Amino acid sequence: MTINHKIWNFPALKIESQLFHVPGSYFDGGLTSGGARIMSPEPGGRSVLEMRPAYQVCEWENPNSSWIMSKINGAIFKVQMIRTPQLIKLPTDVIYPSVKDGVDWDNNSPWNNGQEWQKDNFAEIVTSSLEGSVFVSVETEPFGEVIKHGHVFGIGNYAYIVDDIEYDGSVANITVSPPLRTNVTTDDTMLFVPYFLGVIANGPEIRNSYDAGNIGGIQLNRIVFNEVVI
Amino acid sequence: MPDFYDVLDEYIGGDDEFTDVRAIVRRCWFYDFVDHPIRVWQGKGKLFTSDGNEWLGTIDANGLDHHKTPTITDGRDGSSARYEMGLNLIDTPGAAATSVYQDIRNEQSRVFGRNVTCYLAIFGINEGLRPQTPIVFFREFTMMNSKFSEKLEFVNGASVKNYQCSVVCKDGNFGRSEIPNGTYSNAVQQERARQLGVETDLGCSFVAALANRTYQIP
Repeated sequence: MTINHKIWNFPALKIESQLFHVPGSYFDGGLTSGGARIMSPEPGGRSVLEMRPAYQVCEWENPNSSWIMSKINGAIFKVQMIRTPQLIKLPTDVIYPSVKDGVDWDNNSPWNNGQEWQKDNFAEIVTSSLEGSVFVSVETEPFGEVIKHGHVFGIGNYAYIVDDIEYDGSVANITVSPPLRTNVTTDDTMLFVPYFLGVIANGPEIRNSYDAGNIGGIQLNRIVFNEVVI
Repeated sequence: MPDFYDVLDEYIGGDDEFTDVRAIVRRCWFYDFVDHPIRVWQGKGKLFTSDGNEWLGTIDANGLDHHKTPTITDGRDGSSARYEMGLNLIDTPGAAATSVYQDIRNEQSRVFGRNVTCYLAIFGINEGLRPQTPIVFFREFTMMNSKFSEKLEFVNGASVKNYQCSVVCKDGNFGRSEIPNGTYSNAVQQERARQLGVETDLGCSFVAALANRTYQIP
């Protein structure tokens, strides 16, 4: 029997804050003879997305907050991240050959710099990598050496943080964390606005803040998503 | 391919204080249930070993290990300890937890006499969850019995169905105290060796000379 998981799109709420991180975990390993504390890191690790929705004023029409509070029984959400300094910032004066999902104006033309609405830039992946490994190589020729360690990017439904990066000409060899969750081929692309697959880990905390007193204005508490690997 | 113990030696290096040694080694457990082989490892996420197998991590996001294993004792004194291992069954890509649970519970023959094997995996730097070093055999146990429980819990307002399976295992020393069906004499031992295809077996060649003597162990 094959199991098909239902993946819900996280509603397009206004977001007040968002943080992606890969905390990992460790076992305490005692003290060295020199006295330093040793921690033995857990291989792999999981990523976490924390976000706090902004004050929602349209709950009467779209009770998204109410819906989210019922989706804490392991329901899987696909969350598209918003732009924060964690995401890769591309130079604005470059016209990228690699865009997808872009939409023209209604006169079928793009902006006068050649870019479209709602476009999603991506970089080409140049070598295949296997699930579980930590290396990805991408072509950075169109935009230069803008990717630094600490940046967050996406491949497919999963988000990764750049642990280390080395440029070999225009090819960036990136060490990612957590390890790759899918096999990556040259047909895949590196998304600058990543997606995150997660389940809500702190249901009761979110529910506490549902307050009907503010004429329908609702602000949920911080939502913590734990990564889901399918 | 690098050998596990060579890699371990590299990590140990010239350090003689055990607290200075840092090698990341984790256990991988293989439950050989008939038709439902289960591979789990003591960690987070899916582990890929060089033999092509996938192992599911049993430690959840909160650091809780859903795989309960007892301390493994040294069997060199001939004792055969009783081990009970517990596992929360979860959905895997091939099979739902419910179907594995029902199958194993309804047909005990899928459990009895089957092996549980423990391997060790060593993780190098930047190897992620795909270590290059092949896993090595650590211990093997035989499943003698199984216990099952399913329960419905309410956690944080959501109901959680939990399928728990535990197996009672014995190690290779089990059954050593049974009476051997043979006689210790040189002729009989040679005949047993011949049947096995071994040319000579001198294991009992002194047996006759030792008979009817009293030995004082110093």
